[in-house]
Amino acid sequence: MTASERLAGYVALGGLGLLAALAVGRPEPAALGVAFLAAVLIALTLTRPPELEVTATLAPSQVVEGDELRLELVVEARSEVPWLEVEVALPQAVQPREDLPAAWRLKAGERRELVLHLVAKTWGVVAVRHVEVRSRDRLGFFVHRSELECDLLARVYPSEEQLLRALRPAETQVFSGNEVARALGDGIEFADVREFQPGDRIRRINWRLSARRRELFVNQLHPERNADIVIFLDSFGDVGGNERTLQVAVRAATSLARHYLARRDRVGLVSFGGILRWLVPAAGSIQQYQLVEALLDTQSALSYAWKGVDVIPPRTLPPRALVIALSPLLDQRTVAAMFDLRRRGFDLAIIEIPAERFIFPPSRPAAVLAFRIWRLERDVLRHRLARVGVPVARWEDEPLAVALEELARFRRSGPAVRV
Amino acid sequence: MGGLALALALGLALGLGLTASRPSGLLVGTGVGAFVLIMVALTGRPRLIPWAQALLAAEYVGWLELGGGPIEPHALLMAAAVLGVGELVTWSLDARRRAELPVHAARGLGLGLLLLVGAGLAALPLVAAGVRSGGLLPVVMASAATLAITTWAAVLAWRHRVGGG
Repeated sequence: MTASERLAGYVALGGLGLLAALAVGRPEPAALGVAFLAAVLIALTLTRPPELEVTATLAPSQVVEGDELRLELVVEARSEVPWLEVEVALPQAVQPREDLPAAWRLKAGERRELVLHLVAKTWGVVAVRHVEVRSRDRLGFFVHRSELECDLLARVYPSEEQLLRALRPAETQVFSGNEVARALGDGIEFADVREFQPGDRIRRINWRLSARRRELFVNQLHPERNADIVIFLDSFGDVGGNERTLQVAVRAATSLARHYLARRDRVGLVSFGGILRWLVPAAGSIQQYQLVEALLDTQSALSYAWKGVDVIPPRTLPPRALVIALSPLLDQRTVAAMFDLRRRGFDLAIIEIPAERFIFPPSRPAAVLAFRIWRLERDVLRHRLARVGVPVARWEDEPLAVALEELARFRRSGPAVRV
Repeated sequence: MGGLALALALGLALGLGLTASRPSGLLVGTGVGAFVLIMVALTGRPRLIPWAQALLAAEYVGWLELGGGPIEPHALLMAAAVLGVGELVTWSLDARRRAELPVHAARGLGLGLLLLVGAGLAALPLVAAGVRSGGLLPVVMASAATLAITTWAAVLAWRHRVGGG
């Protein structure tokens, strides 16, 4: 409990008034002093710590970006509280839809419920740990602060874009899946015909062609196989204000992971940054949860250490895997890792989160010139990557499917030109 | 509340300065100083409130000294007014935090009662001074009572850990 500074002032004024009365030999200064001392005595006599019971709940425990969380506070007073305020330390990831309620008065035995609607702005873990309850006496002489230590957690998952089609890997793996393999084998997709050989199954015979050519021909088919997809998340570079490149990248990673896992592909994750995190490729719904949890923990960490792809565990980058990198292409370590991956023969595609979207263009002439040079250097980098066969698609405000289509077009017929 | 406090302070400062039996620049200056302090306090500096009240009280004592004469019967109203100025400024500062109407109603009622009790108790020295008495004993007893009351209030305040707020 803390007392208002004016309480000490009133004590001093009371004493001074009484002394002044003695000094000047008149009762009027004493009257003034007595009034102040009366205020002090009333304040001290009537003030007592409030008896409050506060409980807080946060629900639901799992939401998607843009959804609403409900923070409910229940305050119950056993004694009267003339002025009660509640303050909640909210994390930046949430935005209260309405202001905190104004101070209110509670009578003895009264119970009041406060509901605060919080909009989850960005993905991550929302933690509400402190709720401060401040109560004042009727005249505001004393403020009593009590802090409710709570551990309310909610997980905000990144919003996903429903992808109908994503980037097809150049190579497939050995397990069955939804990807039509380039190799020939048992499958549904027609590939070619060849002459019948002993041991071929009768059902494979192409009777129409065999009748025309007067010898037996069998159909050859493409098998449906799964693929290994590694999402390479660049957490070295993270720029922006309210929205940051890493946030956008994680949203894209979530959409990609869900899409490929639904196609029974194995999906892994490499978070390449100050803190290296990885998840070995695997398939199934458990992997989906593990990926989302790993993505929630993604954050940029400052590091000056030079890191190459050598630090990534070999099993995390299996042979013939499609590596989809999500990066603002700002950090030289990431760029070097991209070239290194390509040299090692990995099927690599880059979705660039353009840093230009997240920074303010400069206004000073010299800075404008520097900005233009920087942008040219970035263009050069994209061309260098394209020359070694790595498609780079800039993901602007459009849906992720547009960037993926741009990558697919590059892989079919070379780089496209953006106008 | 802030406007009311300013009006009250201005009324007190000018009223005392202009109604003094002898014109005194010091008296008017003290009143104006109190008014300025109230204005500054209203910008969010509650520490200045007791200083402004002290200046108003000093102006009143100066006004009494200049005037002389018998016991001033309106001293209890003056006590309530000086106390009220500070309380109104504090209420005005507290009201910057949003609060529901019953909170302000309760505070207004509490302030009214405080001023009433303050004025009532302020009347006691005036009544006591009216009783004719002589000798050293009443002076000694009054001094002891003064010391005791001040000490009691200071001890109570100390127990409540006077701090910010």
